[in-house]
Formats: sequence, C-alpha cells, structure tokens
Amino acid sequence: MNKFSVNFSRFFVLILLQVFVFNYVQWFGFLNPAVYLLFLILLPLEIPKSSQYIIAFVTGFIVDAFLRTYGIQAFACVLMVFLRPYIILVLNGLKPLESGIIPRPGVKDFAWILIYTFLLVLVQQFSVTILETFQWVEWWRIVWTSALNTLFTTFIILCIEYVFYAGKSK
Amino acid sequence: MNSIRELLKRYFHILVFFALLILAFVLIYQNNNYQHFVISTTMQKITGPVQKFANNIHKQFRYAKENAYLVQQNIEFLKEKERMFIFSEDSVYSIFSSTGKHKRKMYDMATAHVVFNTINKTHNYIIIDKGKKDGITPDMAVLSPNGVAGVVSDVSDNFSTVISLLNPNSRISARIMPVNQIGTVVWIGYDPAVAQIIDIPQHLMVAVGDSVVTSGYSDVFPKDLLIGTVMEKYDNPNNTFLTIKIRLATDFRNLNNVYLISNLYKHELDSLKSKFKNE
Repeated sequence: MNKFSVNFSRFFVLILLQVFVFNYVQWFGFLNPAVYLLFLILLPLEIPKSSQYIIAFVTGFIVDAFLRTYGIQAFACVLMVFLRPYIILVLNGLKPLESGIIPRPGVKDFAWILIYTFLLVLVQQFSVTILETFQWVEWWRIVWTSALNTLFTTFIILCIEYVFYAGKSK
Repeated sequence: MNSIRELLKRYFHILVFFALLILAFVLIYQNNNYQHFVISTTMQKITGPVQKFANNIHKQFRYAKENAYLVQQNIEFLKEKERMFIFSEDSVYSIFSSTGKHKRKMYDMATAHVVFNTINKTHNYIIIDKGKKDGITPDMAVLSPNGVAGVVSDVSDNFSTVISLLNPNSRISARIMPVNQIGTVVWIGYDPAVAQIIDIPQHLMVAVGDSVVTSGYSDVFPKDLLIGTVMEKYDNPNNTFLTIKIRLATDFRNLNNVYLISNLYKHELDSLKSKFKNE
C-alpha cells in the first residue's frame, strides 16, 4: 500500500471511530476524547504546508458536521497542524528539521512521542474549549476541562499507536 | 519581481492558514447561536458609542430634511382640525343623512419658508418663497407655528409679500376668549411682541392672561387661531373702550416656517360681498 492509501484509510477509520464511538463518550459531562486527531498527528510532514492545513480543515469540519458545532473543530485542527512543525522543531532541540521525519512509535522514542502528542492535543483541545465556552468569565473551567480532555485523549491515542506500531521499526 | 514570487512561494502557506482560520471563524459565527450572540453583543458594545457619536454628527445634516418632513406632517394634521371644516350637523340635511356629522372642507393649507422679514420698521413685511406657481393667492392667511403671522398681499410668480401683523395696515378680527367679545387687533409700533386690541367695551371683565384668538368672521382666518394673550389692560378716560395690550404668540424675530391657509369658498364669498357693496 502506498502512503496515500494508508493515510486515507487511517482518515476514514478514525473519523468513523470518532463519529460512531468516541462522540458518544461524555464522561462526567465534559470528558470527550478527540481520537481522530491521531490522523493529523501522523500526517506525513512532506505534504506541502498549505495542503496540510486544508486537510486539517476538512477533517475538523467533518467531525463538526456530526457534532453540529460548525467551525470549532476545524479552527482548532488548522491551528494544531500549523503549530506542528514548530513543536517538532522545539522537541528536536531547535535543530533544523530533517526532511524524512516520521512522528510515530518505532521511529521516535516514547518520551518524544508522548510530549509531541500531548502538546498537539493540548493546543487543539484548548482552542476547542475556548471556542465552545466563548467567554473569559469561566477561564478556570476552560483550563481544567481542556487539561482533562487532553490527558484522556493523549492516553487513548498513545494506546492505539502502540497497539498498531509497537513492532514496526520504520 | 522574482523576489516577490519567491516570497509568496515561501509564505503562501501562512496565507492559507489565516484564510482557513477566518473561514472557520465565519462558520462558527454563522452556525452557532450562542457564539453568534456573544460576538454580536460584544461588537455592539464596541461599535455602539462610536455609532452614537457618528450619528450625532450626521444628525446635524439631517435636521433640514427632517424639519421639512415634520412641517409636512403638521400640515396633514392641521388640515384635519375641526376649524377647517363647515359642519352642518344641525341643518335639516344632516337629519336625513345617515353618515352623522356632515362636513365640507372649507380651508386648505400649504407651507412656505420666510426669505425676508422685518420687525423694526413702521410698516413691516414678510416675503415667502412661494408664489403664483404654487397656488398662492392674495388674502391667504399666514400662520407661524405659534400663532397668526399675517395676510398675503401681493403675489409674484415665485414669491409672495405678506403684510405682517406688525403693520398698521393689518387689522385682524379677534375674540377675547372667556368673555367672547369681538375686537380688532392692531399693532401700535415699536415692540414686535406687543399689539393692541381695540373695540372692547369697558364693562367687560377682561383678565390678564386671557387668550385672544381669531374670530372667524373674516373670510381669511379660520376661527380659534391663537393671536396672543392679554398682557395689560386699563380704562381709557377719553372713551368707553378698554385699552388692552396683548403679547403676540408669534415670535417675529425667529420666523422660518410658515403655514398658509386658503379659503376654498373665497370666490363665492367675494361675489356675495360685491353685490352687497353695490347696493
């Protein structure tokens, strides 16, 4: 299978998972993991940046369409994908990006993957929560809701990643 | 040129990024009721004071137009006043008519602007910006918003001369209100706010502050239009009439919009009068 079909099937499966399973997870009224972000996290970095943004927008918009929150997930996803190269840059110790970097287990060690995933999901969840709450009066609510959601989502994403990629080395 | 292309190529993705962010935000604004509400109320808080300020400035330019509308509206209301009609409710005709009050329109109204006005001469005139072309005829009544102002004397194509109340030649038939006595208002000169009413017998109990209105006995003015109020009165030793000074309701110093009243039956009345004179 070539890269396109791998990514496309990953996109398809994760969106279905999100829409049919994880959108119905509403623990404590606010804990709602955004597992489809795994697709954007694993999106190859060789794709032109503008195309990456458009892919992110479309992905977010599809999830939005099922949640009836048009624009919120799309906004957060575009922001997340925009910050992705800079987060990788920081994680690599501010060295210029190597071209063939693949952000997945087996290629990078566990700590790198953990921080990378955590930061990206944090950015996404934080902006989603801000846009959903949409007022600064409840800033403490924004903070702890997004923090808990981030932790939960990161945990599930890491589980999925390590289930599928544990044995593979590149 | 090349460097610009290079620059565009390099930062094109940032343009795409911001375009998508804005698109997402527009979608949020359009499709989520709560967010829409918050954004629009916040925007209103910001733009409200600015808009108010701008509106205050714009208002200065709109006054003239608005004033014209208001004058027009006033005329519509004044036309419907009772004094503009002849009622025949107590005539035989109305007993048999099923519509109740039978009325015929007696007066019509128009509006004009004052273009020239004097108050300090012995014979004062007003010139208004409407004339023969606008249907103005001599002997039309001229009112200010506060009260009676004068009578049209001469008419050219586009302008008309009005004999102001502040003119010894203008003699308006008036009535002092509670005592219901008919007199004539004449101007005594000097003060543009004060006139005199003559022909009121001494035995009548006229009080300061009584209103003086048109009598309706001339064919120029409808009845019950305010001319002024009694300012002071004293007995005249030479004859049996009271000398009554009245304060005019019209402010002749600030005369801008005036209303014109025309009698729709003037020709009929004139022809009757001419027969009367011939005898």
